[in-house]
Amino acid sequence: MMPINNIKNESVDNDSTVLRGHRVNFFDDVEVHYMSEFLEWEMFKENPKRKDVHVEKIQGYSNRTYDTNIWDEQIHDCLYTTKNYGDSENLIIVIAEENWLQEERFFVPASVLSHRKNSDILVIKEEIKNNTKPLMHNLILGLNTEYNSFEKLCKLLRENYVKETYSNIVLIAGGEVLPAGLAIAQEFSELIDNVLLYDGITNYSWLDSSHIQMCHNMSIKSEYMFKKTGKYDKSKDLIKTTDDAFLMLKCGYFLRHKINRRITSPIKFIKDHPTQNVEYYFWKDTIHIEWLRKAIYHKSIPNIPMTNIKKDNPPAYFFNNSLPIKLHKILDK
Amino acid sequence: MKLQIRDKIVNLDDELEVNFATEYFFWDEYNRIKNSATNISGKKDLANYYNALQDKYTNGGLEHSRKFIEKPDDFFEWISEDKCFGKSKNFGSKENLIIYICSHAGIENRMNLPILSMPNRIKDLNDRFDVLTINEHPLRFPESQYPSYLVLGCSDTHNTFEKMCNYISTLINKKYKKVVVFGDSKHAAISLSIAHALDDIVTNVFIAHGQTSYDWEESGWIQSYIKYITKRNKIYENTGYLDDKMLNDISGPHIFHILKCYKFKKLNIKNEILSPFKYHKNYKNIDVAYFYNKNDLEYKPFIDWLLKNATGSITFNDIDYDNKVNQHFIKPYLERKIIPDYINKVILNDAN
Repeated sequence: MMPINNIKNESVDNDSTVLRGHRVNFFDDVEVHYMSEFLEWEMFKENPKRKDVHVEKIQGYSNRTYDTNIWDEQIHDCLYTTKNYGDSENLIIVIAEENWLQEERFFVPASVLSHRKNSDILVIKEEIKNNTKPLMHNLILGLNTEYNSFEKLCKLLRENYVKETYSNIVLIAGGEVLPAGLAIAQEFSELIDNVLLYDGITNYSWLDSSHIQMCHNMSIKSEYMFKKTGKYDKSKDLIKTTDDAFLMLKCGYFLRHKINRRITSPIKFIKDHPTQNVEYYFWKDTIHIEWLRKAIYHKSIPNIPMTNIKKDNPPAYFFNNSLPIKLHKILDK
Repeated sequence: MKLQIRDKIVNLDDELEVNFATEYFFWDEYNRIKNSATNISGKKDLANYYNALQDKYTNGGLEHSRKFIEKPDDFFEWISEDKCFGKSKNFGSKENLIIYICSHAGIENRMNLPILSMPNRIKDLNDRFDVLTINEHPLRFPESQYPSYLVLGCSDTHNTFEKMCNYISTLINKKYKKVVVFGDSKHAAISLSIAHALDDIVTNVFIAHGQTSYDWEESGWIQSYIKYITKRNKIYENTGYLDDKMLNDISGPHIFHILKCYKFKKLNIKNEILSPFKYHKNYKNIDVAYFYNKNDLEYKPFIDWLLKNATGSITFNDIDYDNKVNQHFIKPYLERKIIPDYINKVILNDAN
């Protein structure tokens, strides 16, 4: 096997990588976004049923609605609060993923909504328009074109929404917005005591993930060998799924933008917030959970409570069983 | 129908997939421009293109480009709200009219060039002609819609060929001695279709070589490409050899032509609009002057088809011009050498 450093005249630095046979330079925004469009196409081919998702992205707006009897829209397509926000002594912050499978604009579990009587609820999501052409930032680069950085988002929350008057604040995040959710919780660690995380991406940091670096090196080498021999060895390609390719693209993009590791990889900094209770529920065996296990094993992060849900429908079990019990314990004591 | 284009197999029946494919081939075009930007002017063009794309991707959508595209012009004034039609100042004061169909905004220029761009040599004819310009708006939605070669109208308001032509008729309120339609390249065929639709007023058409048909069964580019793909597959089945030359060499405009023409086929657009040269015998009062360059090998299938299928009063002129950089780019030569004579000897002599 040829050592990677023997490859001359080709970059093996982190300024570019090869995804699906195309070299993409992270310093060329246009190239990054064309690549993300291309990966979207691949995703569409993998799952043609989600056509409406892609149509919405191309259009740049969503026709989806939200229940105006429950929610007040504070910032269009980004921030939603329950009616009479500020009256309760508890606050539940839901970091919402785009909810493509339902008619609503965002998804808030029924077990959270059932606490409306004694809690305010704040929903934070990234504006769809922000995600149209650019790569999905998953809140790492803010909410929308106005609040376009994590810092601006936190400033907005501190000034208007997350106040010291609350006696209990719980934050719920999962999926692709898990890192951003945890980073927000850590930013407000003096106020947010409980963080409930569910199955998702554990970090967006290029430098913290050996898997990403291995994928990167192998793909560079594959490209080199292809140019040299005209043959492409598929077994050497470690980027198996489009999701993985997207993850690499995002990590490279955030690295090039020099996003702080406290935002892209907040799990690494749990130890800096000892008073905050973080729990993690997962059900898929992915590279993300593998990274987390390794990090705990090597003691680079503290041993956080992790629950592997092994049920027929784990998401439903989490939202309908685990989450209500946890919320009841925290909020109804 | 699934068709292999470059390294992708595209399902042409799926609008969304065509949209993704368009973006993907835009990327190829961007890389081509990036790699060929070696001189100062090339680098300047690349910088403009890059900035426009970056804005697009940062802000989402193309709205920010509106300020470049809809820039006011000293020569023209807007007529329509969609900003697709412009008329020269003092419009209506001359005896002759030029209808100019703009083809300047290619893929790379559509986001940063003003919609009202016109060669100075045409503007200089302002002392003898009223000038009306028609442009397709680059911010049409979805993005893959542009350019529709005016077959699907010019904007979301005038979104069919018929609506667009009816609107042009309403703009022309007086009896002109001569009305000349100028068109070129991607608008070669549609210029004649517009002339046919306005046959009660148009007297002459001046066309610089380009796409002479948008019909799936008749377009030179499409038929030659399908022939190549079929042959390639047969050779591969028999010998295991893959001839990828045309797959690699196919140009951006050629690809977009294929994607658009399939859409026209699906929409059942009338053949009279898509292949007007076949029907020109029905319009005896319109003279067509067609200029082409026999060295332009890329567009050769179009002229070959045209020479076999054209009917009616069309004069074909081979200008035998050798542009080493781009053999298709004959417009500057025509503006310099041909148009002045054409205007003075053919149009104005007849008019007097």
